[in-house]
Amino acid sequence: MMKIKRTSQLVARDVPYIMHPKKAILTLRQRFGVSDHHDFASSHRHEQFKTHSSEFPFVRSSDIEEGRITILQSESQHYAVDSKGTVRSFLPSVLEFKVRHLLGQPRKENIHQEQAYFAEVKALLEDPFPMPLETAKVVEKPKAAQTPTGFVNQYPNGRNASDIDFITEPTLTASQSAQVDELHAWLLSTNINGITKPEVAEYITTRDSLTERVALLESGDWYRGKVHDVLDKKREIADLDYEFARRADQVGLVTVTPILDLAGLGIGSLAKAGISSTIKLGSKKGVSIGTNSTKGTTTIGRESFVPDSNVLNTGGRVIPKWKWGNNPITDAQAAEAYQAIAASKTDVAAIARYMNLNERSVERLYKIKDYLFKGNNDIPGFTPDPAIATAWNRMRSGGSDLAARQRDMTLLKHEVAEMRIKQQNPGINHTEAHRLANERYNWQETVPWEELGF
Amino acid sequence: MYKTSKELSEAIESIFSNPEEGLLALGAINADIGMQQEQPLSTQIDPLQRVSMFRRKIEDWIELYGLEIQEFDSEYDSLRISSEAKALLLALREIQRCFPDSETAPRK
Repeated sequence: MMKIKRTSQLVARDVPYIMHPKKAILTLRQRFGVSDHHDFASSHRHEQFKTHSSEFPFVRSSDIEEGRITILQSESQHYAVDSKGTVRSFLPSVLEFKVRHLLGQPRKENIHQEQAYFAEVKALLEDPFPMPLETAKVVEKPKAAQTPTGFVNQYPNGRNASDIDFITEPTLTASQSAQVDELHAWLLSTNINGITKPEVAEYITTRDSLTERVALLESGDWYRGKVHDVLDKKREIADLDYEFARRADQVGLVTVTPILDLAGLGIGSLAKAGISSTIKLGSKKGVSIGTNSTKGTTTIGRESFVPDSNVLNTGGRVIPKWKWGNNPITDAQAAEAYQAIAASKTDVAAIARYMNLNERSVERLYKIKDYLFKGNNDIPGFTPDPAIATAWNRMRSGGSDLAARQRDMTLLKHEVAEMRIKQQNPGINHTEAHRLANERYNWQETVPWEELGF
Repeated sequence: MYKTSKELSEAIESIFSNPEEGLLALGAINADIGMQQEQPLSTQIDPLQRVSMFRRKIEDWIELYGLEIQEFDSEYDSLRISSEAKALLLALREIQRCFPDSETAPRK
């Protein structure tokens, strides 16, 4: 692909694509043929190329040699294979013929040079990772019912951010399960300082069923309106909590002594028994109910511990928040930043919003996120890198200038390349895959020193 | 690609310390991100229907902001999210004013 531009109108981003004048003239000569043109004013003979473009119908060699006109050339690619393995081409060529022959897709249709068609093909050509040519046998992927683009995160492999559980629940033996059941029954039968047993029982049962409903909704298939339904249920839970907290506040501070010690079990067992281990209630009123993992006590009434404002408390799960604004992340903060990113359910959708990504790119982004921040299948997660955390947050908050965005895209391309190398070469170690990916997309070299994390 | 007028370009330059940030958001410059992007809607679709789809998308984004703000805990991000959401709400108001006969497209 070639673009003709007045030199005075060049901008910084054109620089990598400027062709040397000699090469530009050679290219024009090969492409459009030569027609000599006599300039009577200067008695100089030029080569003149008839380009058929509306802006520059004629280009003279002297215009290029004397720097009035510049030829830009992006990387040319003669074929592309889309995600279904279909060959898409923009010009007939020997190479296209070979690719079609290889994939068993003889050319049937006439290509019309329509703008819409070119836009589609251009998008395919810009894809740095087209399907490999060996994939002649194409398995049709079932189409997702809804597009996640521009909306909350949906994980193509069916997993969900809520799968991340920061509380490890132990596997219980039969006798321990019986103890937990006994503990549960004991808790329900306890008359807590004025709040009657049926009230406690009803509160816990209703809350647990609502929480279960939310979990089911969150882990289920994505549909438009899913977020609305989840928020609706969460609002019901909040109302329930508030009402119970109000009642608890009326009766004052009560500490139910060490029920966990009684059963000899940990916080995870309590959660497993269906009792939410951390339930934050009516923070405005300063009341809470829950277990204190350090002291092993359950408190109902005024707060017995100070909730960490940096975590999102979701009844049994503690999700860290991003608390560093747009500042670069330091080494010490990297692990926590990774947790916040891994737990985020909106980041991919936000990146898609800022970068105008389509559905296919969004799916790719989910894979990158899983690979970078959570580990994927047999591949373990990586040691938290402050520069990667900084870059990811910059993408999800739309705070990029051109240079930063291109740098961040190099990171994504590097990770995709690394994933692909590992897929195609099972058993290759990470260092080698990283080195090979760096040969094409070396992100490390582009990171400014202030983002390296100290 | 969005064509900017001289006045719009100047406004963007005065708002952003690096105007590229604003121009990228507007889609007035191409960052060559190497990933496929959303294509323009077909001009064959009824304009009012396109407005409805636009409203749907913006409302979805505002809902997304509502979830995003819960995942951040800094003054910078709170201000950023509320400012961006406010700008979109203003855009919705103006869309309603310009196309009073339009409705938000239902969720599929």
